Amino acid sequence: MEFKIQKESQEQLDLTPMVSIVFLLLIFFLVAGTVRSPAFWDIKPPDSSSNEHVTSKNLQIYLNQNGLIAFEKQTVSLASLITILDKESATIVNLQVHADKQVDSHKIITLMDALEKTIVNQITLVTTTKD
Amino acid sequence: MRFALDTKHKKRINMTSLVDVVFLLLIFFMLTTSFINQRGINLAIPDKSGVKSSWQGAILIRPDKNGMVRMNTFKLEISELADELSPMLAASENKKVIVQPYKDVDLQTLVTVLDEIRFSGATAISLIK
Repeated sequence: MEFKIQKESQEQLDLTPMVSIVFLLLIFFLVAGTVRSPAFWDIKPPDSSSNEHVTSKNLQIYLNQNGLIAFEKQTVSLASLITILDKESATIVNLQVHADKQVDSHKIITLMDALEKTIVNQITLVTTTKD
Repeated sequence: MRFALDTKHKKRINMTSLVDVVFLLLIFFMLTTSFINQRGINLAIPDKSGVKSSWQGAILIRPDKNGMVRMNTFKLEISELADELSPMLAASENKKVIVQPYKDVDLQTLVTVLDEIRFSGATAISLIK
């Protein structure tokens, strides 16, 4: 008995469903998530029941669990941060602070006291929702 | 003249490169996207005009690192704070609260206390060392 060998029309793998699913996933990630800038430190913000949303348009400063301050991907001392902020344009009114939940709360108060001399008149402490 | 119509073997678009690019984009967005729900607490920097607002009669709250809070003279747990503070704030004239954490109180404790105070209806909170 002889079998026909189908050489000419080889079955091609149909990629259409896979492409559909991949596109769907892509659109999901594009729409549902926010692209985050690579973090300078691994900072875990404190939980809070606050409902105020934050915008990423403000200047960002980071405060890690050891109380070190970073501004624009560089570790700075509190005194040099104040100097930098003084040099910035007079438009800064709000500063976004990403502080670790483990940091000593006195560090935040020290920071706020130091900002009294600058044009910053409000800081937003970044938190996450409880659940 | 007759041309042979190749109806059997339809030319298919090669999707491999498209799939490659789409996979790359997918992986990029999967890695860079965060779903952390960021919220914020706004803290006003003390008035620079030199005019000091009056904190006379404000309630002093001092959280410590063991999850206890000292409010004016008595000591209670953080979870009880809102229940105790609400009637006090309702009775007080200016509804102002001063928060002075003890040494080594972590930020999480402070934020929890601030949440409770805001929930109790305080109009102004001052943070001091």
